[in-house]
Amino acid sequence: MIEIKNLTMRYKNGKGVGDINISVDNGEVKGLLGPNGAGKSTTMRSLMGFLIPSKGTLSVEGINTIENPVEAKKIIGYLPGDPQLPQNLNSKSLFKLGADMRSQSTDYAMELAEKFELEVDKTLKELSKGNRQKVALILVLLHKPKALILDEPTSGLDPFHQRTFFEIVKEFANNGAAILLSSHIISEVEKVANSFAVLKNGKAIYDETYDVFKNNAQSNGKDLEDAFFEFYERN
Amino acid sequence: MLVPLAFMNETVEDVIINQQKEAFRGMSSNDTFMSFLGISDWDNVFTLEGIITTYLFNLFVPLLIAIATIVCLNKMGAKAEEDGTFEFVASLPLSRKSIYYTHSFVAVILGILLGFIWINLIYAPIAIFGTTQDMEYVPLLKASLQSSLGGVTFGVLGFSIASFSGNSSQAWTFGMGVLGIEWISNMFSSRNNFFKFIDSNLSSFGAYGNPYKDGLAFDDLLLVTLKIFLFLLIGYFGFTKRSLNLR
Repeated sequence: MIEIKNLTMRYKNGKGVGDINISVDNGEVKGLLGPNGAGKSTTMRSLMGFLIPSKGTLSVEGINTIENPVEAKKIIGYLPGDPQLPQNLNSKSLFKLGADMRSQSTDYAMELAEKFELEVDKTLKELSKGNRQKVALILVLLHKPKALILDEPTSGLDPFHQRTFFEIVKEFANNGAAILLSSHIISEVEKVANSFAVLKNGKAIYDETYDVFKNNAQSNGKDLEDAFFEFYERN
Repeated sequence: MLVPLAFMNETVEDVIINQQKEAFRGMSSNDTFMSFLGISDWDNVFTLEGIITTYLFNLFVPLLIAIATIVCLNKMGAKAEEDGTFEFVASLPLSRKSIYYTHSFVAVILGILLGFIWINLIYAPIAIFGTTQDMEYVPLLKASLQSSLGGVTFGVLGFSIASFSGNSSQAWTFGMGVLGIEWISNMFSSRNNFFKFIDSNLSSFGAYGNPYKDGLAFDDLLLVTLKIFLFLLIGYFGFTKRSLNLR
């Protein structure tokens, strides 16, 4: 379970997030929606302990991620919004490195590489943006984490591999992982999430199941996308 | 300049060393200028031993080690934070403390190792081919250690400040800035009491002395070791307590 309670984290310029409360149960996939600068990455980076919050309690499976980051990171798979990996290594070496750091084998990484049709012997600088994103995703998943924190995970992936990715996410959720996944677009989150939270100017303005929002939209005769934009403008 | 010195015969020695020495002797009367060039002993500087132990070890080796340490540690630390590559490392089950200890170890060992490799590259042709001027290996290692540790103080200062703030450019500002101040203090130490105080009590250049001839001095070693430890401590408290400077 991922729990964010009363998170407040301010940058020197005063921006950041204030009083965020979000929880993700085991087996649940929660979308974190909002435009650029809404606070999605700040929330996720705070949860990872990269940013030190001025207030709040952040935990994964009951482990406080600020006070006990090593134990927490053992069970978390985190994908940054713009993953930057060593360009001169090939994917296979990177998987080996990631697996060794977590005392795991690379079997699952190679299995995922096959699913994503990834050429593991090419160095990262020889790979396209989409293929580099696949490498980053595999690095996040190779230790079969109990919690996934994914910042815009489908960025750069073609629709075919987006589909593969969502299948893998569903598989993780079915196995009991708690998954928090950020995106700009509700239609993307719709494919995989059970619920979603919306951030605007560093504040959480919505946190409900996907079905509740969908039913409201349908009762007002609106499609999901239009209902979402209207809701966002109104709040 | 070292190559002809290492392989020269006596005629060459007379042409490129003794005649140069006399031609430039006028310079040696200006202490500040000599200090600016890193020359602490004019008569000795035209020998192989003098060039290495009182000229190169005095200024250039610490400068090169400081630059190499800052480049390497920035790449692993503050610069990696700024360009995003550190986010991958930070997501692994490693504590900030263990990351900082590793970086600190690399910073100190890299400097000493560079000095060690460099001096062996210089010494190898002397030992293998023989020259008209001889050098002793163990005193050379002692001088190399003292000089390298001097360079490490500046490199580690840059690394620790960048670790404290997460800003890679501050490594250069502080590391090279303090190196400059200590060098200026060395230059003017004979003319000004303030600079003399810095040079005698705080400066890594002042701590160098002449370990090739005199051996390692406990006070000098203690000063550079304390500086390295203090700077690493500053970086530790900053790096383990602050938010990462991610883009």
